[in-house]
Amino acid sequence: MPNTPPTLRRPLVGVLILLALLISPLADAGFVDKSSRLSEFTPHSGPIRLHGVAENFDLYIPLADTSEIKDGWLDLSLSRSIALQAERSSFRIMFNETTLAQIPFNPDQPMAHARLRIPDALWRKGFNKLTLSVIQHYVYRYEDPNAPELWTEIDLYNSSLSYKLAAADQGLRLQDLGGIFSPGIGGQATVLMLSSAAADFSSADAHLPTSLPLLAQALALHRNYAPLNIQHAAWQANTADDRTAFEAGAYHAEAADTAHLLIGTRAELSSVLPNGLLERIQGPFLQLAYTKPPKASAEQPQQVPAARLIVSGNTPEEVIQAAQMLLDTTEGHSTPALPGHFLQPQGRYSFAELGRNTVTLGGAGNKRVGVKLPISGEFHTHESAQAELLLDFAYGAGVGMGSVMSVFLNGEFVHGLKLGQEHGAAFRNYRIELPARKLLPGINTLDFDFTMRPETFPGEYPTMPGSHLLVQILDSSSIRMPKASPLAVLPDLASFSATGFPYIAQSNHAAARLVVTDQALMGAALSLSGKLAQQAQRANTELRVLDQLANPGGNMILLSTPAAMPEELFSEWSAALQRSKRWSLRALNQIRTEGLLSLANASESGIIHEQGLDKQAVMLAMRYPGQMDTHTLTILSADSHALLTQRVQSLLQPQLWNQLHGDLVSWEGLGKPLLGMRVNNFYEVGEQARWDRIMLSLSNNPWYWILALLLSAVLMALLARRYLRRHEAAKLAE
Amino acid sequence: MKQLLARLQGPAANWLLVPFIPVFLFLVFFPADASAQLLVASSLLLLMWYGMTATEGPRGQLFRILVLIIGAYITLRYIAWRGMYTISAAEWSVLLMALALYLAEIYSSTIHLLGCLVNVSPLKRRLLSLADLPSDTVLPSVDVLVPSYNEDPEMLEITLRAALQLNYPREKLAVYLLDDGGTDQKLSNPDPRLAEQARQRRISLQALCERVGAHYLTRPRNEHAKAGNLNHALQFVHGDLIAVLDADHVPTVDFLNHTVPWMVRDEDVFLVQTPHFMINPDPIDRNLLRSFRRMPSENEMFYSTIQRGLDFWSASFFCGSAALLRRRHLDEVGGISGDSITEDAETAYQLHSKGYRSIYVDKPMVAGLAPETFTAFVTQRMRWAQGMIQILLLKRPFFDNGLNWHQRLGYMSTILFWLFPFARTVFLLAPLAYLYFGAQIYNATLPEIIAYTLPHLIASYMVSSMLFGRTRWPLISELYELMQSLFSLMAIIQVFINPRKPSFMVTPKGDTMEDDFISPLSKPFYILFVLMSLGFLFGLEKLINDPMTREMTMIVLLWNAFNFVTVVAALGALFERRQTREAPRIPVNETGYILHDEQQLPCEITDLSAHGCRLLCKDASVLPVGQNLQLQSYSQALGHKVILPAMIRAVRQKSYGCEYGLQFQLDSEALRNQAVAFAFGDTKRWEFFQMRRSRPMPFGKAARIILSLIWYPITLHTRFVYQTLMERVARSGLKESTHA
Repeated sequence: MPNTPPTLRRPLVGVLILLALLISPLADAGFVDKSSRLSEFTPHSGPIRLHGVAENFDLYIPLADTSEIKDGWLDLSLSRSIALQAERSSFRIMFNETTLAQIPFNPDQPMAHARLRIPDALWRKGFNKLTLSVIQHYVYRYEDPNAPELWTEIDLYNSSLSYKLAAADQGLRLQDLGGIFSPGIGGQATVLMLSSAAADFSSADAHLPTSLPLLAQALALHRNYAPLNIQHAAWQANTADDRTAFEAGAYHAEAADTAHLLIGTRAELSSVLPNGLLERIQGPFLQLAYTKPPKASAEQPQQVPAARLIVSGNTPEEVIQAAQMLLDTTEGHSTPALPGHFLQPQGRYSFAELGRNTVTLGGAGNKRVGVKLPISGEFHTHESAQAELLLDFAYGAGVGMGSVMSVFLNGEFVHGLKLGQEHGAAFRNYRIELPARKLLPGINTLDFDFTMRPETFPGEYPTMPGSHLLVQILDSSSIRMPKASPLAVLPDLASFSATGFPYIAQSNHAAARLVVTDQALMGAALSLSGKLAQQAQRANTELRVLDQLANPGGNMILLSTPAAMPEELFSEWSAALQRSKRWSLRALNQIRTEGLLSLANASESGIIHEQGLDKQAVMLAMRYPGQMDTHTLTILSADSHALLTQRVQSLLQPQLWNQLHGDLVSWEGLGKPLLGMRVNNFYEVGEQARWDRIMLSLSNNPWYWILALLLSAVLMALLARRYLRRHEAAKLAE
Repeated sequence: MKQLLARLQGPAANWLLVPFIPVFLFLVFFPADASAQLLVASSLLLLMWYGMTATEGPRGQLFRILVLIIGAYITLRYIAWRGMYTISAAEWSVLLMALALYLAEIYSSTIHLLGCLVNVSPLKRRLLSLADLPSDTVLPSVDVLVPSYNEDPEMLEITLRAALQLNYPREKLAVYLLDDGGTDQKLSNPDPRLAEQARQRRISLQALCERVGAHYLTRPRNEHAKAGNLNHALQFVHGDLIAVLDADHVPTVDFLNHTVPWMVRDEDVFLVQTPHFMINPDPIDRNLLRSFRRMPSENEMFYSTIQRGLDFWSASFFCGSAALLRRRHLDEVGGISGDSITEDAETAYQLHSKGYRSIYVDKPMVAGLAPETFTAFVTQRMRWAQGMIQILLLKRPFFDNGLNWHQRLGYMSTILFWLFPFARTVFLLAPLAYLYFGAQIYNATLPEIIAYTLPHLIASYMVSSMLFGRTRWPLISELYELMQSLFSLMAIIQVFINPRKPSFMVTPKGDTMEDDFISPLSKPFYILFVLMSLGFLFGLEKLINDPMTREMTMIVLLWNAFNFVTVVAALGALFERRQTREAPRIPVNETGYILHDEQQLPCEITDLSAHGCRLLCKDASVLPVGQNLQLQSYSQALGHKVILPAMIRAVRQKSYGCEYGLQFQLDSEALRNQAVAFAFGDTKRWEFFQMRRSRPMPFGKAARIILSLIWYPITLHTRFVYQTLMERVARSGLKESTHA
């Protein structure tokens, strides 16, 4: 304020201080400003359109149990048809069934921006329902309720929810872990796992290789499908000061408010935990609590308390037991939140079991009911097989022309039914066959689209409002899965991304390893294991994380820079034929086209790192070389540890993760598309059902099929000719 | 493998099949991805194609069998896939339609596979003649029986004269005319006009028999139709062998020469059957295809291939005529059987069941007439269909322990074939069910159809082409079956309702038609024409407005288009063309001389009957109509020259000479006999004619011929309907003016 007169400076400073005090963090102790796009709460990434005379759209906003929220503001960006009548058209926003605002239509302003406050009292823990509804008219009489003029468009990407968020003022118990890592608002998206620098990954009694993946998977499962960024660090604390800092949660200064997880035996933890707490560790030990940050000072602003989970025990075995206990608790608690485990071959599942309770839809317009069908990565059935949907549903009287039900499986139309009975109809076990080839590994969506139209009449009001229309799908509806075998054709990164297969199998707990060539990559590896557990909806207790390649066997994920890539994995590549098979010209050309050079180039001596991958990271899945048993090796690589960690965190985001396909992918950041291709030969995995395996092999290797057939046919032909010649000779001799 | 097989003797080698049959069956049923199936099916089709080209080579039979096995595999795999994965419906009505379609496909495939088995190795017997028998052989006596009901006496005269000229010892040969048109029952008909007609017929035929040297036989009552007539005659004839000739079936002189030796050689042979060689086109050929001189006739596939195939499996059967039967064996089963209206096949079945053997001699030695009108054609086929189904229901040959397994399969192949009207009708209506009502009766995706259905169709076609390519043009079977199916279906249903109800219907032969006319049986085809035309409109509407089902709609439209083309072609065959000539002329290629005014003009005889001929004379001079002359030529049958007096009835000048139509002026019994022997007595002429027509026809060319024909029926019917309407209008106008 260089131009302010000095006499005015003192009172102005005072007012400013007062204002600053009023709006200072002290006034909102512990609350942090946050903002989210509305598109984050729905699969609709862009605008949604509300058609017809009356329609609404529901958004579900989750809120962690362990969080408090206030000062919620909704910013809505919308545009509306210019044909609407101002006095009869309005836009209504409801929050948890309470109307927040009604916005009349202004013909001069078809593009509108609305900002409204959500009263704090309306927020609920768990799920909050935001309803956007419209009443739309364009004429007084003879109105067609389905006229194309009746529309309002809401841009969810540019609409947002801003709020202040704080941890709930409550003590934490272990069961609050679900709230801490909730996928909703207030849930922790990052966790820092801390272990002692003295603890190793290679000794026989090391607990970290087992316990870390268990914990990573357990915490990730709490997040449901939301990514969990896991960081890993080792503490070196030896002094009382360090212990105090640890107690204050300030050990990892740049992530002081991040949830922490301390893992170690009682002895390992003795350097960082107070004696009182250590004395409580008498066996497998789990504790969840907030850290106690030091009070604000001139140098240090007040820190937000962070949740801290301690996993410990007297011995390494007890640490693992504690981790396993956490996982068991997680799986037990989280199951209801998940859509259900994978559907089993020949199993019959009611909609209730699939998480879809009886639903009744009312009114005219387009309605959609979805059911999720989780399919394992090792669910193999032949292409012509059918799943049987036995639908129990009904629709009420008074439906008009154009009322239909369309059934879509993964967005593909599979069945249609005209709803044409004037007095309504009820169906039990209405049979629809779903082609099994359209069921993909991961979550499949079975959608029932209802277009409900009221009857039309000649005259001034040609249609009824349609409020009498209803359709009901009962939770007794069921789906019967076809016969299938636990077999899969690999490598397939699409299946890997959708189900975590083959690293987490549905049929058993197969041994699998996460190997990092440097501990700096441990966090990325653990994040990946958590993601796989999320996709599989279960954890693999036989998953181990290692910091060096040892004891080859089982499926393996390797995180490494190209320079540190273990050569023994590629010893087979010395043969030129193998090399060309592994790295096809197509793949190399494609990568070069993108301005890169290959991750590795094989030579007589193994892998030679010629040039860097630049900003790209690469992921390659293939049959584990040099093993008798069929296992899968997946390699993730980037030029540096930091870059690879960063790229893995990007990859775990749905935008990139859902794009995984083929067996070789390269990616850069979230804003750029993932490049995928197929360069390796297929192979089959699965341990059961020999016949099914033979069938799958024949299907994948038709030349064997032809060979077997020709062998049979030639033999039959030779024997038939022999018989025919004898018969003919006998006939001619008559 | 070959060495291994050579080492294994007897049935031991067959045990080699044991591990491979389950493999084969597994490969039939196991589910696979459409892409893999397509790859395998395409490879197999290529192998089949190669195999077909190699069937003429040194290992031809092996490749032939291989092609059949691979073709059967593709068909079986298709049927298995259809049954396991493509039949589903949300509504009962649609499910029933889907099942009907599947049943029709199973039926067609079964017939196809039975056909493969029956015709895997058609038997080519060597030709025996009486000279091959030991010199001291005592020849059996032969009675030639010519049953007649209402046939023209002129036709009968030719048959009787030809029968009497058979090369066989006269004392051992007797010819009988079995007249069912002059029975006592007919003579005492309450209608005096009919009674008088019958009396006149009896008198004229008795005179004919006396004139030519045959015996006349009739009976009190017309019981059990043809079978009854023959059985009645058996009471009065005592020959060792019975030759049966239909009234229009004229034998060549060597008929007994090549059939009797089989009876002499083996006492267990009850039947020697020979082909029925048709000397005139059937109505479909005459009205639509007009390919009599270049296309194998409709029955040629049966007589040139299937009967030989059945003969290989000891299941060739009696076809009612052109056959020699042993009297002793007939007596064992009480004569000709009469439980069904196909007495011939039934009799053969009964004697096969007793362990007796049949022989098929593939040499055309009996020339007959095909039905002239579509009505007559349908009448004949309905009788065959009903009779065969009667045998199926009343005799159940598949469960007859008297037959061995291949005879059972042979009979089942023959009998079940006559259920084709069911399948054909379903194939006609199935696409309409989808186009009209949207009934999803074939639940498959386009890739699946390309991977399963298309290879099955191609493989079936390739197999048929290999088995019957020389005796049946592509797409012709479809046309003939379609034209019979609608009527035969009703006839078959009647048999299923009451197996003993059908009665024998004599096939009208030798009809003449003064004018062109549309067959009275054409109404169902008009309905089909309209339904299929509308089906296209419904399909197009569906194609435009329903993008989700576009692939399936396209396929069904193609299917409907195929049916449509067949129906339109059928409409062409239903337009009966004028035919004034009573006796058909046989296309021949003989040389001769016109003897006129002490001149001897060389000529080529281009067609011939017992009453006249057409010949081409390159001499510059033109003889007038009404000119009497003599035709001299060499008769292979008689072994000497024949000189037949004739009169010129028509003259047509051509750029390369003059074409004459001659009518023989036969004023003596000897000349009439000569004319019959000259026209009908030579087997080689029939063989040459048959061989000339026997050639494979590529699918594309046959399709082009059919497609080029389909516009013709539409214009023909439209013009005919228009002309009829105009005539009616003109007649009504004339009436009004007369009244005025």
